[in-house]
Amino acid sequence: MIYFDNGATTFPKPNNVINSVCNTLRNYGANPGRGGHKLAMKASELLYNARKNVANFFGVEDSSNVIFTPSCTTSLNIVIKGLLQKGDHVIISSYEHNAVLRPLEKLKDRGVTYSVAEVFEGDNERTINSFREQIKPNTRLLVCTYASNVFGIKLPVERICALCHQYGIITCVDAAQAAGIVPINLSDSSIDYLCIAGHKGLYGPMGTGALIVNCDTIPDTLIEGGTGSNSASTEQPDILPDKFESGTGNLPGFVGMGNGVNFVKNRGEINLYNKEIQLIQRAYSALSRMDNVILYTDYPNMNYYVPVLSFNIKDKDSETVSQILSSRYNIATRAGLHCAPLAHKSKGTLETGTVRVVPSAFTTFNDINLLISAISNIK
Amino acid sequence: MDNLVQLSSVTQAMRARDLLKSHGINSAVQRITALRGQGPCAYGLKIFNRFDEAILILREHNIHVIGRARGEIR
Repeated sequence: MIYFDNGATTFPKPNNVINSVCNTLRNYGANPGRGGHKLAMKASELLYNARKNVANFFGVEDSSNVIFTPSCTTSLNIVIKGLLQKGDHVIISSYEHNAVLRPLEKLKDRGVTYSVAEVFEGDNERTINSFREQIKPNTRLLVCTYASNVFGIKLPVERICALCHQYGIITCVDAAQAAGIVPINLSDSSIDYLCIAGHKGLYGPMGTGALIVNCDTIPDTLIEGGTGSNSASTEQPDILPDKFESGTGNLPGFVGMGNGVNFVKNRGEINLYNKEIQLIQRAYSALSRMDNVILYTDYPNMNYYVPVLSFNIKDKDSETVSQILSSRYNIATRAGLHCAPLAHKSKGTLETGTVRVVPSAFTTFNDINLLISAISNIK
Repeated sequence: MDNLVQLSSVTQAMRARDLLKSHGINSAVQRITALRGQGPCAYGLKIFNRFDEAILILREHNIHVIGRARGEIR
């Protein structure tokens, strides 16, 4: 199968990731941070090394600030639900995923409100002004995506976060689609919380993610439970990462995630970004010459886009096109709304959805050529 | 008493170990009996040299040392 659904999860995974997961399961299957026997201590060491890897990758000095979670969605929920209280106002962008939108909708019951700042493709100044216009006296939090998982549009997040800091607003960035593609260094950043998926651009297994804390404000917990130390106390520890890592974590998964980070480092983030954007550019150029294909963005470049492309074929619904690509041509894409109705509303594709194409480090130009050929044959 | 200190968690203990190593101070992470009244289930660091200096270094780097432990689990 020619796999272009890397926006959902990257596939295949690098050998070092697969090997590390298998090795952990085979040889280090003890529960980290619980027992004191040799195997438990070794398991703890593996988890610690994975945590350090992620911390170094994002320019974080204290690895305790890397909280492993089952997903980027979990990370976002921790920040959103752990920080906000009645009367708080939040600003989000017009390209947010349901991982941001749904928790905020739920918090309306708690008296939390939110506003949507419009993103202007290719015009960062207008986008930043749009965010500025949404700021209110009770705005407590900004949550915005680093890049759209549907259309690949990249937001000027550092400038938006810096603007928010001028008003004392806490900032949270959803980097699910950007981590591992766009270099992100938190050492000199206005991003207070970075939420990442381990299984997309970082090539780790599904069921992994992290919340990276880059400020002194620590959210309240969603979950309390056993953390393996100070068990006599009935209170949840308030130290990181333990505060947010109750219960048995996915050690093989997080070890895999740590090795995924190594894979990206070894290949070079910029190299991967460069190559993948070129793949999307080739697809874009070819599709733009087809009369029956609808594209929704300008020609993608590294200034304003990550390597994600959405399209439709006239008079065909997106699910049908994706199904044809799969059954007839053995090409995997994802159709529909991609859990991001706001993004589709912004582009006018809420009724139709789109077919989404996302390459990975393993996608070749030949794969793209086959995709182009397949699309050209769908009438 | 052994030069054994209790830290908040295994992550903190490993951080402390790495930090001390960067200063040429050797230590080892181990499961320990916690301070009086706190029961078992704790992690400690056995510091092999320059103990007083080690404590200062940890405090300077905001690694919270809960206290000197009752003793290692043998």
